[in-house]
Amino acid sequence: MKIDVRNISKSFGYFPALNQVNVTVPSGELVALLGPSGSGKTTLLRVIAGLETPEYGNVLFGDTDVTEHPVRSRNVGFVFQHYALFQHMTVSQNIAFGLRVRKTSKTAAAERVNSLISLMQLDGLGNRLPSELSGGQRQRVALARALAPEPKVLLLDEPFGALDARVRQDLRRWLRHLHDEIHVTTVFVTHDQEEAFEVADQVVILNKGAVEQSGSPDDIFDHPANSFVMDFVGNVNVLTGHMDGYGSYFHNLVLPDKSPSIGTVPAKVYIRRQDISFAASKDKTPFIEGVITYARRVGLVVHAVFQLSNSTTSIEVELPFDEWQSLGIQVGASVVAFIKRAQVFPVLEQAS
Amino acid sequence: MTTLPSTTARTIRTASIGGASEPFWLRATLIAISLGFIFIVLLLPLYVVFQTAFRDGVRTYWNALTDTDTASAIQVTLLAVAIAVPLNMIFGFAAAWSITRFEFRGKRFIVSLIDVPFAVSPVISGMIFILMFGADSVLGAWLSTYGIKVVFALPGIVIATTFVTFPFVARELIPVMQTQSAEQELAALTLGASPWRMFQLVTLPNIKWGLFYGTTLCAARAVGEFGAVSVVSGHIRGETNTLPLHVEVVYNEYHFSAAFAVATLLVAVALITLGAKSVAEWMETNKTLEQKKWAMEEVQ
Repeated sequence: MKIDVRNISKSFGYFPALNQVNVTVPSGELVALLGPSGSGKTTLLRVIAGLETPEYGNVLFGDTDVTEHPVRSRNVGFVFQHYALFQHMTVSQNIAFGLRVRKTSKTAAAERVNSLISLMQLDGLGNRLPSELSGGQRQRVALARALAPEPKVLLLDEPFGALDARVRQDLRRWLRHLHDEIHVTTVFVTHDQEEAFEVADQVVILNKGAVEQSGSPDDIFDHPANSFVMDFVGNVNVLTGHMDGYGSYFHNLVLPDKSPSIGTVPAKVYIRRQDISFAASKDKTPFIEGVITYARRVGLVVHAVFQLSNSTTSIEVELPFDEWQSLGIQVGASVVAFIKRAQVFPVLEQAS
Repeated sequence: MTTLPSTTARTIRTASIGGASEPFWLRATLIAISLGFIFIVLLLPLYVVFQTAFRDGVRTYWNALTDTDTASAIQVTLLAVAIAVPLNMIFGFAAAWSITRFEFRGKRFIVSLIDVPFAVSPVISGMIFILMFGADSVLGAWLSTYGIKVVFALPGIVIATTFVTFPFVARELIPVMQTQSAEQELAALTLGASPWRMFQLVTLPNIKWGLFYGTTLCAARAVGEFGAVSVVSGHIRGETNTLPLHVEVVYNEYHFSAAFAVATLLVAVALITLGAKSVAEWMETNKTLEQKKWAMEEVQ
């Protein structure tokens, strides 16, 4: 079931949580709403579910306008951040709840519950209470409960937020795998870009109640629409340069990025840490010269700081330990750096 | 044993932090004071009640309880309780629900308003109802044209009892419902439950012990209420006397033994309440502990 969010606005008192938001979730896809806290991502999810009423705009499931439909008739599966399991009910009773209130026959309900218990790898836990489960198990019970009435769409609010790093990793892949099996249109909210990029088919980036960019993870990573997205996605160096109608310039470099602009304007140059490499000789162009002022190995990579010669500007660099070792560079050494990729955005008057 | 295992050593040390940091004589004095106080204020009166009630023998005791005026007082009391308690369960739940589940202007004001019956002296509230519903008042005069008598009659007793016992259920439910987030209720709605099913299957099981305790307190107070009821009832023997009023009437007629015999009924109500309170608190603590355990695991 396709979800169409059209022109949704919602405010809490004087705080505009969502401002004319448009999002389309194609049928059967897994979409992440990604943004910093306060960006309105959870509010948007709750608007889709019907837990919040928008002031303007419409929500469509397929061709049906559900804006006026109450939560209970929207047939959505919603997984709350802290699961909101019914504490006085066993795992089986929790999962069966949606079927019970729909007056599904007992035998059909039991069958569905059993199949979900095995799908969610909860075998043998059917008679436990939520308080007797681990965090990851509770998460899967919440998912099973949401899926039991065969919802048209599945909505997850920070599904892995309350879990520790290790469990989170496992559940992420498992969710992706599960989605490939059951193909229900799914929207999940996260503030973790790695999580969004690893799990989702499409990522919608929200900031201050508005959509900054939406697209496939590759698209967003390779072609960030603006400086916010660039900054939010990945560890970047933000440097000052300028641009004119012919190209962008930073230090003594002409950058590969050729965003057109009128006249000469100051610009922000965004370079990811991984998009810089070093060499002992100047055999590639363009290059910049400088000194390594800091270096530290962190597992398989090296974090280094590179200071430009004749400048106070420093650039943070991350490169594989093998490469670092084969170059044989030490802290204090003069090196040549190459910039593989950079994004340049003109600095707007009010932003400077 | 020459060396203590480390765990035992730690247990001993914690125990010493918990209790033995003050000198023995101080602890002994404090415990003696509290025990003495409990004995004089609580246990001794209880003993006196039963001792006096049975002073003239079991037969007098039994006669006092089966007296027609006593029977009437029991009837009036039970009727007042039977009306006031359900009303306050509904009021209390509605108040707790709106306060913990909705955001609106003047919420703090309402929270303070709930406590008014606790703050106002019961005698004063009784007098307020006399002024409102008495024969001299507009409302009272209007009602009497329809033959409805409020003051010095059962309706007045019910209104006064309801007013005085209003805060108990709400006061008990508000903190319970505050800790129980609305999320479980919302989850029930997303799963397709109607509001009534949500209440029945999710809300009620979560608040049942709080509601039970609040209701018990409310009922105990409704049975025992003296001040406000005393003002509005008019002390018509065999008609508008409740149990506490009846005790006073009998006592003032120097039938001490009979008065205390009726009083044992009130004591029984108090003891039952105490028992119910312990059960409810025990169940509540068990649940809270479980939730705490749950929350702890989530953090780990």
